[in-house]
Amino acid sequence: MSIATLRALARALIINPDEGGPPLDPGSDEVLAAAFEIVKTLPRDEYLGCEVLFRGIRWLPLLLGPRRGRLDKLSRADARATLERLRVSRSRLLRYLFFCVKSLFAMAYFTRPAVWPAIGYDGPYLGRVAVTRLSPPPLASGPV
Amino acid sequence: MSFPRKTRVVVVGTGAGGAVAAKELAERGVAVVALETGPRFTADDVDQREETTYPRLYAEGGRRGTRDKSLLIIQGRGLGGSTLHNTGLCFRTPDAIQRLWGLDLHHEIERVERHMGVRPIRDDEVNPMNAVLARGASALGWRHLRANHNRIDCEGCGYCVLGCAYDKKQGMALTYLPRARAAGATLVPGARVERIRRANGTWHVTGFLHEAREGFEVEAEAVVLAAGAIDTPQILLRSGIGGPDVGRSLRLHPSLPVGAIFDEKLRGFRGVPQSVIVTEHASFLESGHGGFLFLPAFGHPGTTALLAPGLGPAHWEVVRAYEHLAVAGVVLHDSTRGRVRPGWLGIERPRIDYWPEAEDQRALREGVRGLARLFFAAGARAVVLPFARAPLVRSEAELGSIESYPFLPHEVAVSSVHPQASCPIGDVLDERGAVRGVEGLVVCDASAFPTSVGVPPQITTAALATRTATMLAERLA
Repeated sequence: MSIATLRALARALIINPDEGGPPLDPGSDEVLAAAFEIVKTLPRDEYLGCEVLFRGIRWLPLLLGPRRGRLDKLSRADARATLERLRVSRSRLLRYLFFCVKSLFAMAYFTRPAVWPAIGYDGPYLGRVAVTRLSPPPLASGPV
Repeated sequence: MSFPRKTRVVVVGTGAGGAVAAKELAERGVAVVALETGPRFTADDVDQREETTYPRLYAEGGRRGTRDKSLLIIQGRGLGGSTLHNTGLCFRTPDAIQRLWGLDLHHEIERVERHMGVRPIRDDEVNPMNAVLARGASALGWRHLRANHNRIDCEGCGYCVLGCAYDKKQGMALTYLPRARAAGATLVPGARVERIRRANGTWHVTGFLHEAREGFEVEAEAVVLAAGAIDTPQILLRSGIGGPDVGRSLRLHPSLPVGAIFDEKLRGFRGVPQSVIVTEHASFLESGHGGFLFLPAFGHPGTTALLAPGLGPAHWEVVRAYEHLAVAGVVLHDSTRGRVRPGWLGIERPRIDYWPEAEDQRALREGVRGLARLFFAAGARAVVLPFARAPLVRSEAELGSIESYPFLPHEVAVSSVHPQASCPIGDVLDERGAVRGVEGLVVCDASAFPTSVGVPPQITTAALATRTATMLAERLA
């Protein structure tokens, strides 16, 4: 699995800081680490499918164009044009592949706190105000 | 792990059906062991972060869906089931649906509502995003109503779908399960049931304990299946029980999201979610057939970004308006029948097949058009359609294009939070909720619905479970 391909993929899918997006680079180590954390929670068969997808997707521009070449060697605009073809492909499988990579990087990127100020989200509420908790009947852990 | 391996009734699942069955049986003096595949998830486990909560609180980490994932099915796991992560929206079973089903659930519904603290949402609890929905419906003269919820002194933090950190949402973990336990029921989290079989008049329930990494077997006089409309039919099919119709009439209430960008800040991620419901097109409320609801449906940043169409700058145009977004879903009273089967080659993930048929597609498109009209009537400056090829719509005049977008898997964003009717009464089950021709086996979850119920199913599931469990207790007595 090529880290360069994953960086290229993330930067093509998500808005970048130099395009007016949030200050966090979608191809940064922080975002890739978050993506790997998500992938680690997949069941084994889906995890293996994901590995195959990541290995194969670098060659996708050779299949779909519009500019031929390895995904990580293309400009961001060319990589984005390939993904756009994937997104509205006539093939259900290819659209599914787009859904997989977009889900992964959308979740990995937009759950980073560094992104939130740019969209006006002020983050979790926990601890922000003193909350009087009701006292529910206890449920001991494990069987009782 | 130590828990009784012999009991009178094993309840499989502890959501809106199983928790009710466990409590109703235990309070009638029946010894109950309730097995739950998910963990015990309490207020202390809530961190209000999507990426850490989905793997813990949702079935298959939030990725449960049809085989090609073109339709995601959101279900909870843990003591309390989907009531851990739902929004607390409570809707009575419509009278027309009860007539269609040949059931009178009024008494059971009242009992469930009392136990769960159901009450109407107050004016001051309607957040600006829900108010937009009411504003649009009023402008068009469309029927809409203030919802009932099972929440007490809610803080309005807006994180209900990631679990309640303040124990204000009165789900099964805080209402029925403590009562079941107080009446002597044993609750076992982390216990996945694989199969059931009957030998010499005794049921043998076998499965796997996640934490101990070992198998288990429990013997019982009767079994209550309440693992939800996806997992209950799988247990029956793996066990070779219930006949050929098991899992073949799955309904999902398929839902399409429609977003709208407003000039005003709505901050839909704060406040009580789903407090306004638009019922104008819900023909099933009168006839029992057809139609749809408009339900508010706001997501946290990761989920919103996942659903926002496009990529790069086009995607950002929608996500950057997060504070100004209103989102609602067209929730269909579906007639399409899907299918659920166990996974291949021992893979735990079920095989689910469902895609809306032509008539349901037509209704969903009509719903999308209606919801877009509602948002424009409320003052939206742009509407985000759920079709992959659709650009942002800037005026009502552009809505004619809705017919032109393909209704194909991964071309349109379809999801479900209400799987049901996979083992329906009148088909797989008799009118008492018992599996036909099998002694001592009943189903107490949304699987048992004879058809799509049309409304959020929490109250119907609990009411039907009350009825079925009461009849089972009488038989056991």
